[in-house]
Amino acid sequence: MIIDAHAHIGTLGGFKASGDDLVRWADRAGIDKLVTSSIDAFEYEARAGNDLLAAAMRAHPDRIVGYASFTSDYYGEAVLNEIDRCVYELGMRGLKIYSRRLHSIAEPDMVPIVSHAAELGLPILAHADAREVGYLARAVPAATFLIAHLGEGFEDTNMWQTLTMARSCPNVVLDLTSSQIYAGMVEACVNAVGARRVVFGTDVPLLEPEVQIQKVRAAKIDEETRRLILGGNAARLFRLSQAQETI
Amino acid sequence: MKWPIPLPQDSIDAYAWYGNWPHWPVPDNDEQALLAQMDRLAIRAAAVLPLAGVFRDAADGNAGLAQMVRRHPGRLIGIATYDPRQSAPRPLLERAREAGLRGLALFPGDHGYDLGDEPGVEEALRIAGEWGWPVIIPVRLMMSWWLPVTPAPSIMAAARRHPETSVVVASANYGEFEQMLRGLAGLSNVYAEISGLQRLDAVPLLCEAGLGNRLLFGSGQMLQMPECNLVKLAYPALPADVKRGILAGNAARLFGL
Repeated sequence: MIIDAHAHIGTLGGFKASGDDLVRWADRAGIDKLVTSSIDAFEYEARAGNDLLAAAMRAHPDRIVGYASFTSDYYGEAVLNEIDRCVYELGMRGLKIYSRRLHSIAEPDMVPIVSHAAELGLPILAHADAREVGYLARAVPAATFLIAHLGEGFEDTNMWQTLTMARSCPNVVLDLTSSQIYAGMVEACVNAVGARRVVFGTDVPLLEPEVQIQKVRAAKIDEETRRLILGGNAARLFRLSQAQETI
Repeated sequence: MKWPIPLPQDSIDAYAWYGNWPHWPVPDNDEQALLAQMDRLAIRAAAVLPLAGVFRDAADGNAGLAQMVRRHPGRLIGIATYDPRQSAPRPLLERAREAGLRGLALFPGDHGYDLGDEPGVEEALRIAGEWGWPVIIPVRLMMSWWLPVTPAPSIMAAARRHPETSVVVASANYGEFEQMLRGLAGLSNVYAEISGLQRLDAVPLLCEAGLGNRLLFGSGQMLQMPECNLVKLAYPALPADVKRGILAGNAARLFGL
């Protein structure tokens, strides 16, 4: 099974995705399930954005799995309540957090939110750099983090900083989703943290899903490692199969 | 889609690298590994740029590249580097041409100059036009957000000032997509290679705009995974002649193969 651990629904500039679009792109690329966050929720307004995602989950219950998301400039009780609503009412299975250069998620305010996600068993997809994810991963060791884009979603960070951090944070999973297609990058990730802590994702509607799959297909890794990266690890983390091992 | 999907065969790679990558270890980046990878992926020929010319010395980089190209005639197309901080363009480019190189690459972002404000570079662009050399100007050396950037509009402006010169915009991504599309549509001397272009459906969108005859397959090898760029031409429902053009025909025309 191929599971995309990093897909989006909603609108960002010229990029738009509905639930039907996601399923169409997934069918084209041979992807079975997409763990999806709402761009609208983390870029504009959480409740409406999460509702948009929930509607897509209802329309495609076997294909779309949800991350609860919220605008990262808001912390506090309201966010905890929205996470509970997303989990208990809407059936979401992960949390997406997004760091901004003027408002980092590596702040004490974020710790209760991450702790709550850990209590609920939600893996946390963090669009943040290695320093930020390292801070939260050490503050809440019970939480599981997927560091989006290998921490390369910014102009002043790179994946090598992320590998250094992840070696000392066993609760951090490496999300390969990115524009980067460095020679040897998948192998470097596996060597750094092991096959069970690396996942694949597409970032649709931004990136080409076939390229992201090919990154894993072409890597010099064994077939079991490839299977884990392309879906086995995501199935375990998001409880999408019988396997419910801990990382 | 059923994986693994077959990757296209018999391509010409318009954007390959040779030399040491200073920022992190790159596996298998020597001459033999490059040729072996080209064989494995049925890449007929590759335009190769010298990393030594970016990071150290243009003349030395060109000389080393020329030696390698001479060892593999027909397989490698040598692209000379010019750095206006180091020399005047004509003597350097004449030496490169005598040594067998057949194109020019400029790196304003890495070499710290403004593409619109450098007399030596203007002369280099004119010389390339005289000789029929394509000029490759990467937006960034490869797709990494923290590498220096040459703004795509400045590349288009250079192409507008030098209509006699074929200018290849390399390693652009979704942030430059609209600029690239407009540049290709408005300037008949602009080409684009696809190694940095990760945007969803980028190649089909450019082809729908009628620009397929100026798109070039580029791999970014040995710094990037060439399979990820070949796959961009493996699945889309493009007309066969357009696909063949992007894979090889456009590059053959541009490099005079």
